[in-house]
Amino acid sequence: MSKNRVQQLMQSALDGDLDERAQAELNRIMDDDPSQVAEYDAQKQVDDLLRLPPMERAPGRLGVAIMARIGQVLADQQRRKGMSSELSEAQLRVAVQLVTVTTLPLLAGAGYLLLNAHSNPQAIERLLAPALALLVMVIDAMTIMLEQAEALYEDDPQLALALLTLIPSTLLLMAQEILQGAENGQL
Amino acid sequence: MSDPTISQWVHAASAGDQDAFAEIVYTFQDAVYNLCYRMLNNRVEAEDAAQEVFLKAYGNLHRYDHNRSFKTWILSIASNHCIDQIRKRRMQYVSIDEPIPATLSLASDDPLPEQASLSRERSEAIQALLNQLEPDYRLAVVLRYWYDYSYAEIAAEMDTTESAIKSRLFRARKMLAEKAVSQADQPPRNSLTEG
Repeated sequence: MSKNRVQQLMQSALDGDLDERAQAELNRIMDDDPSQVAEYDAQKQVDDLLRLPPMERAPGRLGVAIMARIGQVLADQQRRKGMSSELSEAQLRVAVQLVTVTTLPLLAGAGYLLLNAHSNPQAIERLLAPALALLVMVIDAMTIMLEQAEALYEDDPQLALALLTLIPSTLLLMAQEILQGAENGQL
Repeated sequence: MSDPTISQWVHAASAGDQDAFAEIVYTFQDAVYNLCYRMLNNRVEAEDAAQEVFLKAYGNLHRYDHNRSFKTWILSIASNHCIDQIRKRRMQYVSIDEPIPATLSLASDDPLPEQASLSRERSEAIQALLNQLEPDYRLAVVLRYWYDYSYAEIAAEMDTTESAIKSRLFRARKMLAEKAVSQADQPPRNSLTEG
């Protein structure tokens, strides 16, 4: 008889799940081996002891303490959210100013190219198209990115800021490409 | 308490209704606190643990599966939290000399006094015995005897098989019996107790 089988029978006996055949099998095992009787008795006594065990009641203050902590957590979250919102607004203002500061020289540069081209009719032909393209693209790109940033701002201020920070470098890259193209055309 | 009512509370609490969560707290605080006390063997720690359990539950209400019993769900959070707490204690000294009250001596032929069966003394005596078990064994015993979990439920909670749980409970009872007998055979003496 395996140890597992004996354990299984004893467990079932404690749970009151033994059928007649299994009960007879357990009785036979215990008749043959008195140490199994001691084993079963010990199991039964501990099982009886633990049946209907006393419940420890929660201290009266526990519920109040839990609700107070939840209130505190919610208040902290609210405060952090408010701070985050104020911070994001400040960051947004700085980012828009940064975009303006970066793009102004670009626009001024394009204007300067156009003005200088007046003295050179051939140059104006070569530069007018890229300069106009540059202006149009700068304005279009800024409009699109600002609109997207504005739309994103409500849902995710941080992502909107990230998008705004991309505007200057995007515009510079575009300008570089166009001017490079114009230069190549000149050559 | 019907499950639909609890489900309504959970929905309301998820939507920010603190009164609904307060109902949940008052309904389950005894069950959670008792589990924490039985696992941690310290009332102050049990109270702190119960608070943490309810905070975790509050923060995870959106993850609660309404097809499942809320009590099982929150007791699962409590079980995991207590096991973590016990692991954090690490090298904490657990006395093997802690005397088991004579009322629980299995070597005695005297019947257990009826009044003691419901008293705080009995509760603490059982706790002293329970505290002799390893956390995994203790949790299985607590879920089985205090919360009337089936073997399958305990197995699911402890991520093991039913037969493993039966075997664990068998060994746990055997250990408890041996501890009780050995304590009964020893004269009482001063000892350190688990904090």
